[in-house]
Amino acid sequence: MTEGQAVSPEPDKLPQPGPINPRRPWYRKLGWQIIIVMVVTILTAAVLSWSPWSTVRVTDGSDPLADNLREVQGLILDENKRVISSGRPWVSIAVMLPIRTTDEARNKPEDALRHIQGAYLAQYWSNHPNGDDKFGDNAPLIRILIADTGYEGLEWRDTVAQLGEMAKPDNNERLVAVAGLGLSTDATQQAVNALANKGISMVGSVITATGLAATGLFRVAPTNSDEAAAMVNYLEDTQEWKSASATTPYEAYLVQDRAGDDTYVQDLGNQYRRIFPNDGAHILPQAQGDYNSQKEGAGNAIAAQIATICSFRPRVVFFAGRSDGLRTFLRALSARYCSDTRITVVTGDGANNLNDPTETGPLWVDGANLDVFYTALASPETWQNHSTAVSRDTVHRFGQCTDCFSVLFSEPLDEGDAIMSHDAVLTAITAARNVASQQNPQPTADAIINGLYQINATNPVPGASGWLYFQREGGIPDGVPYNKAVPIMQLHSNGTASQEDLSSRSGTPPAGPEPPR
Amino acid sequence: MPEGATLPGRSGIDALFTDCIRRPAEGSTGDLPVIVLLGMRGSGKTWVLEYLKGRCEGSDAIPYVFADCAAQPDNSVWQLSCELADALHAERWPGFGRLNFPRVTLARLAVEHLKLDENLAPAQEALRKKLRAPFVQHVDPVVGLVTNLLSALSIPQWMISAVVWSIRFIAGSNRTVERLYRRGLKWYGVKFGRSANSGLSFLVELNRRYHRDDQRKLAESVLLEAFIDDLKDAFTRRRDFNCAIFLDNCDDSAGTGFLNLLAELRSRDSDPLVVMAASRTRPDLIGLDSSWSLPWEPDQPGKLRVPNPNKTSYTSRHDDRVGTSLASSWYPVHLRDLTGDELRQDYKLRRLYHPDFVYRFAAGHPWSAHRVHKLGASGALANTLSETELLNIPAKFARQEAAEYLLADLPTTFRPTLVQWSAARDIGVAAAALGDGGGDLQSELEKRLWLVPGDPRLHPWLRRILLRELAEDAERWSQVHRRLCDYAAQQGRLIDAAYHELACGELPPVVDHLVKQLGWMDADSWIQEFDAVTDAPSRASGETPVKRHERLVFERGPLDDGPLDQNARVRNILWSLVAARWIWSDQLGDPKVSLKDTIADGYARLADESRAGSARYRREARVYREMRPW
Repeated sequence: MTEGQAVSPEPDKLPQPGPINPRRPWYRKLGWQIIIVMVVTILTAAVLSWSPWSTVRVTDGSDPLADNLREVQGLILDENKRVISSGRPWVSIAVMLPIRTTDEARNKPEDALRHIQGAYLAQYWSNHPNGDDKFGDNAPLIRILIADTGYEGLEWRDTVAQLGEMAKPDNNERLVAVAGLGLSTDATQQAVNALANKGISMVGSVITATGLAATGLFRVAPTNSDEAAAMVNYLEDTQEWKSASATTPYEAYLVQDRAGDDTYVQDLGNQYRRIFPNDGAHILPQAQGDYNSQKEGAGNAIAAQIATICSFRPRVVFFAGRSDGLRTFLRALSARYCSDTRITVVTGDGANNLNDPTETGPLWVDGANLDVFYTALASPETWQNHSTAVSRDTVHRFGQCTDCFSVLFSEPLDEGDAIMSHDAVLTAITAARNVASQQNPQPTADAIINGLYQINATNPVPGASGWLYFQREGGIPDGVPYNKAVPIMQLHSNGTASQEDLSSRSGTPPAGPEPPR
Repeated sequence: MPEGATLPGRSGIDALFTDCIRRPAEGSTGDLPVIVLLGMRGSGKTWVLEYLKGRCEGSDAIPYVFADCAAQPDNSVWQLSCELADALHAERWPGFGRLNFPRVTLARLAVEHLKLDENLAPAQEALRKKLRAPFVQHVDPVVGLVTNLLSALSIPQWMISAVVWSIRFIAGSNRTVERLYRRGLKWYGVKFGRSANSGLSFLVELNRRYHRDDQRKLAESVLLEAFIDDLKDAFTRRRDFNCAIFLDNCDDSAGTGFLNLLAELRSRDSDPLVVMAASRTRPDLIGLDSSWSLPWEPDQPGKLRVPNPNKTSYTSRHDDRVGTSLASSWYPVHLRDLTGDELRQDYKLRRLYHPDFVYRFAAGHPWSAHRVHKLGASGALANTLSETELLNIPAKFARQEAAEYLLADLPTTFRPTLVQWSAARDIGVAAAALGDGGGDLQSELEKRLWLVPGDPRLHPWLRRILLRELAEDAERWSQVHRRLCDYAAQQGRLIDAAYHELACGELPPVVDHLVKQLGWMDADSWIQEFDAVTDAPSRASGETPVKRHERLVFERGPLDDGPLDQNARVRNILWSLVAARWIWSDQLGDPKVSLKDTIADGYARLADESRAGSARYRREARVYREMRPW
């Protein structure tokens, strides 16, 4: 039929004439638009999948997380590559803590650096027990993943989600445990809960809050309760304590940070109050000096405690707060009008952060008539003064040998973070190797809890902060190290600290593996 | 498109339009003709335009507009231009987009409903106000919207007031007017004013011209130029097709005015406009009459013959360009009647029946061919009706509807004379024998395109209608034909004389004349003369053709009992033959062609009696014998 020769619809009507330039069907007209839409869709899907804007939360060292971690990340990356290319069985252990953080945060950038350094040391020496390039016979080999939970640990959700994926049995990352975890805060508790829900075992490095607990959470630091007990044990040995009586009582006073989300400070205060005997000769009154470090005017509130202290004139002040509050408190104390009375201030391991000689200016002025003691989580001085309280082999790797801490890194060990992180990773490694067998040299995350349960007085972990094992006894919660060594440190006005004693919950820390009971 | 595929008898126009609408047309020099379809009422001009419009309707990238100038006969060129612009702007053309007419809009705002002060300054201010009006009316809604929005954002009240004041200030400022209409104002300034900044001054001038009758044409010229330049703007990017304007009844004043101004602009520059106009009279287009002659006009030096649809093409138009640059803008096409084949083709497409009957009746006049079919309907035109009943349909149609339609706009004073003229074989004889009744009837017929080639004759279908009217008065019928017969005799026009004698029903002298002619003429010439004479009209008798033939033969008187000599035999044969052919030649007299065999028998008997030309007469007999009853 030629153009326009359609049959007319009815008689006497001409058929509809054919168009001069027939319209193209819409799908032909839209040809190039459809191609553009498809290309844009594909690109969008690719970009969404790539997500260049999303922050890397977990890395094997190949993604730079912070400038100050560049060197140690490089070491970890190299070791990880060697592990994978070795052809030997291997598993991954993640070191999770706030890494992208600031100097104002409770978790400071240098804390993260020390943690990662300690983790690397544990990885290296576990893979190379002889301190050379060769891998040892222990299986599996260890690969370290660095996991960032962001500023103050608040971005933990993405991190935990990624770790959850990596811990699945069919995932190539072969994640079996998470170590580190950060400070005792609400965010840490939430992250721990989430990891526990995914069945991942954890080993906390500096978690001390007594109440911070979850299934599968173990820790290498003493609880605040242990720290308080150790401190009271130390005070009990002093002459003032011993000479106290009902007529001349040994009086104490508690200054308490009421920051709602800081489990550590709340718990520390509670434990001081719980451990202190209050037997008539030793008095800790219910009245206490409160402040909130998370609110404006915290400094003024701390300084206002001075008047109370001068009127009450206690022998000891328990300070349940973080280092920034302690700094303010000490400066206020040094200017008190009742400086004729000597005051002893004791606090927890949070004071570690004041132990920095590079800080300008003294913490208090001469003649302030102050003694400041704190319980630390670890101290290198322990290695010299209390040689039985630590494993010599482990201490060796912090020394001056090739691939030892002091050669690899320039950071000091005084604050204890590197030691605690090392011990946490070492505990996780020990657990992984405890459940590995010839038949199953590469355990899954699910099995690690049994490896942790195998760490006991007979088979303790030779931690650099002291011998570590877990034993449920006397109401001690699951996962808490039994009678963990607690260094008693004296802080000096110039910011330095020296170990005054080594205590523990019982007063005497473990001295190595015990024969089976 | 193949010849006659959808527009029988008019396909050349379709091809011409298609060539013009494509850009650039093959062999084109860039300029486009204004195609003017010329044809009497009912010749199918509007059908052609509608058909071509339909071809554009289903097309991509072809903006078009159809306007019937007769629909609003009081329209001016200005109004027509605006209507065309509005119609083109109203659509979003597939594959093309919307056509915008900013210059036309500016001109309309400047002149319509506003007569400006004679002094320039107040006139300019009034014009600015007028130009501001279209968007000032939107200021209040905008202010309301902005106020609500800012309030919702708790912006201080003083700040909202400041924003509102700014909006009103901007909307009301002269600068805003000039910015909004910048393009158009600049065009008017550069094109007609002294500088790009004088656009507003020129629009004031345009307003004055528009409101002065003696300068209105100048204003319309400016508007049309604005229209064309606006259109050109839309064609600055690559376009495969031009824009089409279909202008029906362009002989109305707005139409001719528009086309004349367009031709004037085209003499200076080309444009992307294909204009297909149609006119039922000779339109008053500048240079058309002096450059083109219609089919019934004699050849004249310097004038081209207006082609019929079969002979139109874009190429031939270029070969035929004539006259001044203005006259060369036109390309007239005369819509002749359809041929029998074309009508058959047309009926086939429309699924109609009996085209031959209709063709015999309406002489290929397109409108009548379709109207008579509608009245008769297919069933009525079939063999189910008696001849008498059948005759009533076209006879009634011819007497009433067709007459009213075709003669609708003829001044009543001309009609009685025209009815008389219909009796004559050509209008020259009619005018000489019957007079023109005091008016220039011949010019009127030429103007209305009511003539056909030859000696100029009245269009056969129109003539049949008029003869029907004349036949209603028997006395007048005889009187007119007698006067024409006498005049013919005086002038020695024997065929005409015999023709009118037969029309008066006087067979004996006609038969005698033909017997006489038979004696010395060759067969071809005689048949030709016989046909010419027996084409004479007859008044309807109300009888069937056979009965009427019998009656006419009976009037000859009884035949002698003895053997007849050859002369008597020939005379008897011719008597019957003349009567039969006279009745047959009037389609209303023998609608079913029932006398064809009688005529064929007459020719056969004539061949037997003829010494010379018998073969020719037998051939003629065969023609009638084989004639198809429709």
